[in-house]
Amino acid sequence: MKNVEMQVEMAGPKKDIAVIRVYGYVDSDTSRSVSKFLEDVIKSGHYRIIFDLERTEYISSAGWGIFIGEVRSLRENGGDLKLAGMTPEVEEIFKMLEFFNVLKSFDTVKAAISDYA
Amino acid sequence: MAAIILATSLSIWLIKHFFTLSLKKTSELLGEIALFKAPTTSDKFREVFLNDVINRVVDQLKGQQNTSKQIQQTLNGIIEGWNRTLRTHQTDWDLWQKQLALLNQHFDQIKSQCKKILVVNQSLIKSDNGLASSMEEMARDVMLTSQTANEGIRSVGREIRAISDLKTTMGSSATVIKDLGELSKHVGQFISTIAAISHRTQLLALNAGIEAARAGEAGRGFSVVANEIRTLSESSKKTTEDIAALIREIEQRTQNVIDLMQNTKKLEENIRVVYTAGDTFMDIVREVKQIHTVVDQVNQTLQSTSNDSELLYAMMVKLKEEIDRTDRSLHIVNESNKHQQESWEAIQTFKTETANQFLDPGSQPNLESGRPDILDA
Repeated sequence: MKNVEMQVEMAGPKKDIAVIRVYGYVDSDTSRSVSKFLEDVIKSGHYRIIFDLERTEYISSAGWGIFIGEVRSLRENGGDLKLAGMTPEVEEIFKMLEFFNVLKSFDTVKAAISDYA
Repeated sequence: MAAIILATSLSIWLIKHFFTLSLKKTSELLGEIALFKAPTTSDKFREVFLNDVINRVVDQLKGQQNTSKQIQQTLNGIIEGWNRTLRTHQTDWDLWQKQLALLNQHFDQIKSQCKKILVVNQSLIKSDNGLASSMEEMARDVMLTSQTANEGIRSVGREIRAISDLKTTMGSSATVIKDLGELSKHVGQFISTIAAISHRTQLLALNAGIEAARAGEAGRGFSVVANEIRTLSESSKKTTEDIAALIREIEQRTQNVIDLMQNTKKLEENIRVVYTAGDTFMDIVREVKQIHTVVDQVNQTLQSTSNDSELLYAMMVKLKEEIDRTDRSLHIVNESNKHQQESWEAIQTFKTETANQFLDPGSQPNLESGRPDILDA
């Protein structure tokens, strides 16, 4: 069975950007834990989110649904959800889904943090 | 072989030369006898002369016999040399014949194999071409599948966004409707208050009417007012009851809508269906990508194999040309072999005849016993 692990770290000049690092597979089984993790971060009052996907090997439709489902409410609260460091395989699906119209993506976390400035 | 023939011919020439000389000398002597050119006519001298001549003839014949023996010895040596050489040659010839037969046999096998390889090679080239064509069709199918799957993923992307929007909208609507429900409850509370006031007004109007009737003529006007108030309060009560019923209906319906919106089971099911479809399309895209890679590899291998096959075919054609050329050379060798066989048989015959001609002991005169018989006659 494929697993997923997550870590959050506050970044940015004001330490108000939550960088969530995702390791492993985000599939239909593990997407619930990712969703719960994100909800907890948002409930703690952090609306500026960056998903670091450098170590993410696969994201299922359910995983993409989490990002798309939360970005609207985050923006309504003055925040955003950005993606960084996607692997070529993940980025290929991201482009096929045409989510570049909804989510901003960056090559590195650093670039994503800079975009919040 | 040529040296043997040359030596034999030389020997024959020498033999003929010596014999010719010797016979010429003998003939001259015999001619003298025949002509009888005696220097004197006396019997004594004639006998002496004849004896002398005969002795000279006998000497001459002895010399011829010695020469003949020497020649015979020489010829024996030559024939023995011939035999040795011919025996060696026979062995070499037999070996050569065997090798030539084997060569012909192997060469026939090579020709046969070459033809088979050419046929197989041609079939291989045809198969390669057929396979390449099939692979091209497969690559086109794979490309179409990939395009379809990509389109499917795009649709799934749109569905995910639509579902997300729907969830957000439903969440917002549920909040609004819930607020509306709360508002309706407040209105209902107001209506209850109004109903209570109406009820109390109705009672007051009833009491006022009783009191006005007690007052008699003085209370007639007040009695009319009290009746009007009672009528109005009854009407108000009825209207309030109608409004209360309506609000209860609104509250019930609102609650139904809230319950319906909060029950997202069906929506979740639809979301799962969309996600499953999306994952399936993603799997298809990944698999198609792998198939595409394999098809590319197969095509490259086919191209390489085709090149190899064509190269092999070209080499085999060249080899066949070489084989044909060698075949012609071998044919010439076989023809030459036949000629050699004939020559060999001719040499054998020549040797036998030569041996018979020169080594027949019966053809030699016997001079060891003294005078030849001819002289006794």
